[in-house]
Formats: sequence, structure tokens, C-alpha cells
Amino acid sequence: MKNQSGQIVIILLLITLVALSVGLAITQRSLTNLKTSTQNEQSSRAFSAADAGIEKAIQQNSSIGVGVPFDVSSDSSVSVTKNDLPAANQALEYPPIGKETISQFWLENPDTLPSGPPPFPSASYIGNDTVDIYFGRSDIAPTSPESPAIEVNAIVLDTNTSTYSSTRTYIDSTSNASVAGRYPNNGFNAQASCIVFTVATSSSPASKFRCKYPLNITNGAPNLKAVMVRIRTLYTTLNHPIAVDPMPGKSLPLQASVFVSTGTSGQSQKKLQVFRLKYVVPNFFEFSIFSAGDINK
Amino acid sequence: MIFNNKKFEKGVSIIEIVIVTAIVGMISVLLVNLPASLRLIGQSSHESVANQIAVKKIEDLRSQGYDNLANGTSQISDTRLSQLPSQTSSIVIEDCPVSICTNSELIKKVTINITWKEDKGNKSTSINTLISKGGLQ
Repeated sequence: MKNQSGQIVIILLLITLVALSVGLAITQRSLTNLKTSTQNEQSSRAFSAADAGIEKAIQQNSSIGVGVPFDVSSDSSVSVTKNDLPAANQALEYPPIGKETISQFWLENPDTLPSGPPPFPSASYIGNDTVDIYFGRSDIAPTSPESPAIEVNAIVLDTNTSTYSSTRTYIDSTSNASVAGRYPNNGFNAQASCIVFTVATSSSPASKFRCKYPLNITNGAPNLKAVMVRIRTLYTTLNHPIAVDPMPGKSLPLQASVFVSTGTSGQSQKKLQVFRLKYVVPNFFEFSIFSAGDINK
Repeated sequence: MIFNNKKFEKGVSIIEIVIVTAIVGMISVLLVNLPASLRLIGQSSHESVANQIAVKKIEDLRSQGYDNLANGTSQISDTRLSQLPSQTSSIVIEDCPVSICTNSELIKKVTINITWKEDKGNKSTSINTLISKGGLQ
């Protein structure tokens, strides 16, 4: 009996194994690519539907498609909820503001402010002449150079003379001992308490802020009414949350709306949120001059 | 006398048939599906490009604002369109139909459509959105 030996079957099996592996990898890749591109397309349609919903809701100034989503096209739909802010006795929180942004908080209702030439007719005022200002990211310590200071521009109405005036107050979050050049060396008015505060605001039932400063705008003068505060951050390059809280029993006037839009297409869903102010005062002389010494004209 | 009774028969054993059948079967499955897979990879790549072009165009139009949008149909100009074989594109801007904008709001409906040719036929992608006066930009 002859002994026969050979390896052809093993070689063939190995070749087949390699070829199958390559082929399966290509097939799997193609299926993954197809799935991803389909999801991308649905995702874009959902995003565009969410955009479309916000546009329509802003125009109508109301929620749309709540309960039964609104069809934007044959393959996408949207629902938008609108909430007017702030609620009664609630603090109003602005979306985080950056270095060049000014946040504006109405303290009196702009719709019922006296108008026309003086003398102004008497009006019922809410009387938000003292408010708590919350500011700063809770994760930024006062020892960080990014710890913000704020400039508070308070607009006040003198009911005796029927004139408006503007007063600026500069509040720092940190001292010169922690960050060189800060309060009181920078000549700011005061340093806030920065021990991290949790406050129920229009954005969240438990918003965290680093600092709190109680601002007495009119010092009890009966003829002065605080109308608005405009606040911006100084020193920091980061965005920081900011909120204004009225005194207990007082409320800020309704002045903003939040639209939350959910767009759906196929398996994809996209959510957009827009914070919209009712009335925005244009910037006016939003510059400050800081000097180490007295400025002599 | 000792006779050698062993007979040698030439032929193919069953195990060899099974192995060969399995190998041929696997290779034929591979050969049939490989071109389809490669085609799918190309197709999904085209779909991604078309989608990116459409999304960018929507954002460009939104940033122009409602007042600068004229009703009508026009073509998209984007260098990436050359990656799509035999493509046609259109931007359709029209006043929001009454079925959507029931209160005659100042809103334009924008439809972006891109069509191109694949091996098995035409493929297209389409995105709709609304752009309103004083809305997002």
C-alpha cells in the first residue's frame, strides 16, 4: 500500500477562510455605512423639522403640535411647547452669557410703563427695587482668574421729574488675595458672597450659581422705581449663568418665552430650545472706563 | 499461496465531495455579494455627501433671513455636487401653504432636493424646513 500525503485540502480551506473573512468584512462595512447614512439623513430631516417648528411657533407665539405632532412634510413632524417666563415669585435665569453679551432683566412691566411726554401719569409699580443677583459657574472657584465680576447697569425712573437715569455698580467674585488685581484693588463697589447657591429659577428647580449679591437699587427712595437691570460679566472668557430673583412676595414681569421644539423623522429625534426676550433695549453707551488713578479732563 | 485480496478502487470519497461543495458554495456566495456590497458603500457615501450639501444650503438660506428669500426654484451651487454622478439639484422657495400656516403667517417653506444616478436607478434626498420673518438666523 502506498502512503499518500498532500496538503491541497488544507491550503484550499485556508484560502477559503481568508476570502470569506474579507468578503464578510466588506459586506458588514457596506451595511453599516448604509445604516449610518440613512440615520444621518433622518437626523437632518428631524433637525430641520425642529427648526421649522420653532419658526412657526415664534410667528404664532404659541405651542404647536402638542399631543399630536405637526407634520412639516410627509416624512417629518414636530411639536413645540412655549412657556412664558418667569412664573410668579420666580427668579428669571438667562442662558449663560459670554464676555460680549449683556443680559437684560425687566423689573417693571414694559407694557405698563408710563409713556409720552412728561409729566407721566401715575402707574402702579411692582416695586422690584431690591433684587438678588446670582451669577457665576459653580465649578469655577474664586481663586481662578476665570472667576467673573459683573457690571450691573440699573435703569431707574424718577417719578418726581419723570426722567430715567442709569447707575452702574461693579461687583467682584474674588479678592486681591486670591487673584491679583481684583477687589478692592480694582476699585469695584463690593465683593459678592461666593459659597455656591442653589436656587429655583425659570430654567431649573435647582440651578447652581457660585455667587449671590443683594442689590438695593433705589435705597428706599419713594420717588425712584427700578425699571431694568442690564448685567454683563468682566474678567472672564467663559460663559456664566446669571439670574435675578425678586424679593419674597414680589414677581418679575413676564418678559421672556422658552420654545422647546422636538422634530421627528423616522427613528431620529432632535430637540431645539430657543430663549426669546419680549422687548430688548438696544445697547446704549455700553462701555466702561477703568483707571488706576483719577481721570482729569 | 497467499493472495492479496485488497482491491484499490479509483474514485472520489463522500467527504471530498462535501468539502468541495462547501468551498464552492462559499466562494460563489462571496462572488455574488461582493459587487453589491461595494456598490452599497459607494451609494451610502453619495447619500452622505448629498445630505451634507442639503443641510448646508438650508443653514445658508436661514442665515439670509426671510426678507431676502425670493419665491421660485433655483439650483444649488456647491463644489461637492461633482461627487454625485449625473446629479440634479433644486431649491424651491414658496410661501408657506395654508395647510401648514393656517393663520397666514409670514413664513417661507423651503424644500431642498438633490437627485443623482446610481447603478440600480435614481436616488434622491430631500429636506423641508420653514423660515419665518423675525425668526431664527
